[in-house]
Amino acid sequence: MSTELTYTKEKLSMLENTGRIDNLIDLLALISDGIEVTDDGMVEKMVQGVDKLSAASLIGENAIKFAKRKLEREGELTSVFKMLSMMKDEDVKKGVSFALYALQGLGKQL
Amino acid sequence: MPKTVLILGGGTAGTMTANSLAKMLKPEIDKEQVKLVMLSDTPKHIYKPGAMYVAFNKAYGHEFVKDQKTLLDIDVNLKLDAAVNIDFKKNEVFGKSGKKYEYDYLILAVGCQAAPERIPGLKEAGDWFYTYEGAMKLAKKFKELKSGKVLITVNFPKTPNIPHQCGIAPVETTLMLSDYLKENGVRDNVEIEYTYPKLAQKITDGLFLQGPTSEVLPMIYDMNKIKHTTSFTLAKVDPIKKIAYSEEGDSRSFDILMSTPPFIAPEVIRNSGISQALDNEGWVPTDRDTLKVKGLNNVYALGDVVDLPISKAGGSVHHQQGVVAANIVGEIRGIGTTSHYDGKVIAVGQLGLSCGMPLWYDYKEDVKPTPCTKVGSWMRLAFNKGVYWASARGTI
Repeated sequence: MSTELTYTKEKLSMLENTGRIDNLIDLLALISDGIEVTDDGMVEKMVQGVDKLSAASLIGENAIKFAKRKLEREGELTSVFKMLSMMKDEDVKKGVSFALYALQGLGKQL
Repeated sequence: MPKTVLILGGGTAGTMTANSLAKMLKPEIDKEQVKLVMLSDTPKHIYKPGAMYVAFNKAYGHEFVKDQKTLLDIDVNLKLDAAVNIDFKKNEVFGKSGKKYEYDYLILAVGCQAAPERIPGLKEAGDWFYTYEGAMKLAKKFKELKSGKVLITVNFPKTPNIPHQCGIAPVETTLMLSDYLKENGVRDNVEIEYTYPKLAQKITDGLFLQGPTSEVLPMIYDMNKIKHTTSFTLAKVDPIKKIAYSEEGDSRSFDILMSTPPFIAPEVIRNSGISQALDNEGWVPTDRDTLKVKGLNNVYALGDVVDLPISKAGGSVHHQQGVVAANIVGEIRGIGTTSHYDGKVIAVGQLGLSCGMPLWYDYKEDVKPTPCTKVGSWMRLAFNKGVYWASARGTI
């Protein structure tokens, strides 16, 4: 028997002697069943979740970073007039519209 | 005045590097000491390996395209303009719009492009899956294919020891084609012949650009009833007679010619005078350790455009981008280059429609081929449909 096989046999004996082998075989059977019942469609749906989470995470990070830097550089919006004048900004208009539409979409589901 | 890092190219290399720099240089960007600018000629980001799946009617293509700005850190200023000229002495890049972009550090992440016109007759008679347009043409032909012969050819750059784009792709698509034709019930009526050039980087008379994989391929192809021929360096194609001729004096007829065409650097690089590559291929002379462009102290290059003997693929870029970003950060902070590229490439080869093989190699070690598996194919699917985008955004 080759050195590698002897080594593997010793390791497996250790698992058997310490009462772990049945659990490990059960676990391998479970993994094998999992592979059998999984298909491309399931994998695709799962990873699309990764893409969506990643997109949401970047949008959130970007917005927070932008806002924090503006606050540090330009200070607080101290008056209602300043707040209202921001509404003329194209990006603010887009952001507010998006937030309102998102709320509308949320409401439709309630 | 803030220092400007200008990133040329919004593909995998440019996007990943820009996002890494935005994270690493946040303190300097906060203090307005550094700004990041990306120059891209398109508002869209295309995941190129997806085209391969389009060729076999396993994807439509739209799922591999996103708006570039949705992938970028907010500190990366995206400018939509095509770079047409670079003045390395004055640190300036000129856009098609007529605008001038100045830089303190420049990153060349411009990729490479298919140049089938470099082989007489190939543009007229050949097909390739390296672009979405090409893949869609192939998809239509494969769908209609009931009998005949598909010939596979591979061209390497004339410049020694440089690979074509995505080294494993010809093997992947040959096996995918065999599976696809089996699915359609016409495999027995279609002959597939895979040919490989006499010289493939350091391998002579092989079937792949690395020894260990080249040695196992005959067995894999025999199992799939795929003919294989080495030392067939495509020289010209007769589009009317549908015959491909090799430099070695051999010829093959075909119904469909699925080719890996010659690849070259984009025009802006070829015209810049920076490259010494043969046949005006334009590969950028790049230090294999720091990824700095040789002879230019403030210019780095990565991805498909470099002259390194490493795969022109996302699996290389993933490891190069961190090196480029760390070295630029080191230079901006006054400590010089700090990171080293070891030639690492990690990918999952799609060896058939539902079989994947994780692979890795570097400057020292070749790929050690292992049997492909269903789980390996899911790893590739997961990367194609989700993990790639997260990786490009720098969120994982």
